[in-house]
Amino acid sequence: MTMPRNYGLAPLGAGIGLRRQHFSDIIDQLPPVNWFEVIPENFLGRGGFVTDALRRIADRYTLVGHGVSLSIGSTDPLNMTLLREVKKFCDACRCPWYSDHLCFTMVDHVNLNDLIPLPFTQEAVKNVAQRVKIVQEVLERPFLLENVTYYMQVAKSQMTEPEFISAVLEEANCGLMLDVSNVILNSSNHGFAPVDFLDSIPLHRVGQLHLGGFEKQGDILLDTHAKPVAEETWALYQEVLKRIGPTSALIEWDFEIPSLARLLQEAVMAQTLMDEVTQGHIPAT
Amino acid sequence: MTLNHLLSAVRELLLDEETKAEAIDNRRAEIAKRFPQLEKTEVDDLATIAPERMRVYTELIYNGEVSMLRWVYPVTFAVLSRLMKIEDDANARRTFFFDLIRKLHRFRAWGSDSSRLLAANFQDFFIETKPDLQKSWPGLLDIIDYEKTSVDVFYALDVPHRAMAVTQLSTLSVGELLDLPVFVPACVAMRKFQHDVMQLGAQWRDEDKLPDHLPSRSENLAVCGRDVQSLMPKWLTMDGAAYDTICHVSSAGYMTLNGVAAIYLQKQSWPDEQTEEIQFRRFFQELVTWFSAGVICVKNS
Repeated sequence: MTMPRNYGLAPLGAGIGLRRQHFSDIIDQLPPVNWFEVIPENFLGRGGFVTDALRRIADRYTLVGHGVSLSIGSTDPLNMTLLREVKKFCDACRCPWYSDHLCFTMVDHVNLNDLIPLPFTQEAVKNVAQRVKIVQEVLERPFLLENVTYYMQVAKSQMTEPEFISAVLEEANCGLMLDVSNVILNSSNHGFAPVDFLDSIPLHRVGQLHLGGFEKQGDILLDTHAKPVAEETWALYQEVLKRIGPTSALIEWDFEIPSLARLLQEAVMAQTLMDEVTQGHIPAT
Repeated sequence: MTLNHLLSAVRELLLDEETKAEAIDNRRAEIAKRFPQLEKTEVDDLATIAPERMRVYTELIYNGEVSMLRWVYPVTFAVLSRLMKIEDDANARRTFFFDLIRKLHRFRAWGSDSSRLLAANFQDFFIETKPDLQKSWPGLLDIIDYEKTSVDVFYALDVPHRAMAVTQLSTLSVGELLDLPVFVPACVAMRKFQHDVMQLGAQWRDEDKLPDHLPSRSENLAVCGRDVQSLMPKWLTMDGAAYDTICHVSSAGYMTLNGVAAIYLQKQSWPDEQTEEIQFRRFFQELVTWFSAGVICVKNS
């Protein structure tokens, strides 16, 4: 059976994350950005300046929702209140799809305030898959899971990371938000070849890409989102594009946030590489 | 296998208490003892995680919370650094705030995905545990309240009201103006501070530094609304009459401006020589300030 590429999602080109620091510049300058990724948790239950700015920006640009607190891998009950709020948010902003992370952020009703890796086990696969189905039912739009960085392997006796991701995507029948930088980080921190990783996951399910900066701390690379996209990430990004063709690629820069102009330079780079690599390219399906 | 036991164990190891043992066999024994519901393979997997890799998460988690709280409480963090005499020592500051947030977590675990709840826990921590730092400067609770209130007002949900620019007020006849029904939005906060923390906050905003001396005790009546132009929190210092008037309108739900004026004029103590015209002019000056700061709004008809 032929599988649609990009998980059937329209490739939007290069975009940037919508951050409060840039609201006024975006509203005043209306920069040429294909799309913005927006974190609903930064707006839910809030009014005033942030929602006013969001409304203005949503009127002009395509917004794609990206969550940080669904805690899809947790054993706590799914936060249905949050999920319904996210649904309303996505409807209001006309988000074509939604994504969150393949990890857990809360357990025993305690917030861990980080993306904690799941054990690569069949039990975790089943748990995530069941919850993703509920998420998809409520959101009524395509849902993508993002591969996260992991500095420790909670359980590695059953399967590898690509086997785990593949099993989750197949069982949940959802898309993949492929964080290219995370592949580089994990390959460095755990000793595998990034291209081997690419060739071990169902690339037809990749609906969106993330590109972010990282930093070396001691003997590990840390996913800080506080730096420009690294050379090795750009190189792997091109490998991904060769395999899947044009897609939606997002520059993540969440700390030590630069000027809007500097951020847009990164987006231009992402778009230029995408155009160069995918020109006339008919990717395998 | 039970996933929930494994995830709980990870949570406890990252947030509460890491394994003490350095040698893998000792870690295995310690984890097996602490988490008896885990299966042997799960214990083995957790024991093989190098302690320094677990510590990466512990530091990311607590340093992340420090950053979130510093965003809400920048002046408080600066005051705490001053009280701890660590203003010029970045490493000491890092350690102090990391430890402080661990204490906060032990006081009350962050049980929600709302950063505002974390900020509320921080305030409760200082109110309920009364750390010695408060003796060093009794205004600590005031500045915490001031900063948390500012963020609450900044993020407060919008309240339906009749959008009316301040300049439009002057186009109304006196009769139309006095008939306007007004109310105090729910997000407006009224405070009786024991220290002039508004001055402290203003100086921080303007100069990004604390004054040489933290404010001494002096009662300040203050109201925080959301500026109708910038949508940023706007603090107003008030005299007793103005403060009581806003309190009255707030508890009444809504009232006409005529009613508001009557309360204000009655509560204010005027010098004998002041005419009614001067008193009204003073009231309307106040009124413009209140409208601009979003402290009172015109009710939807």
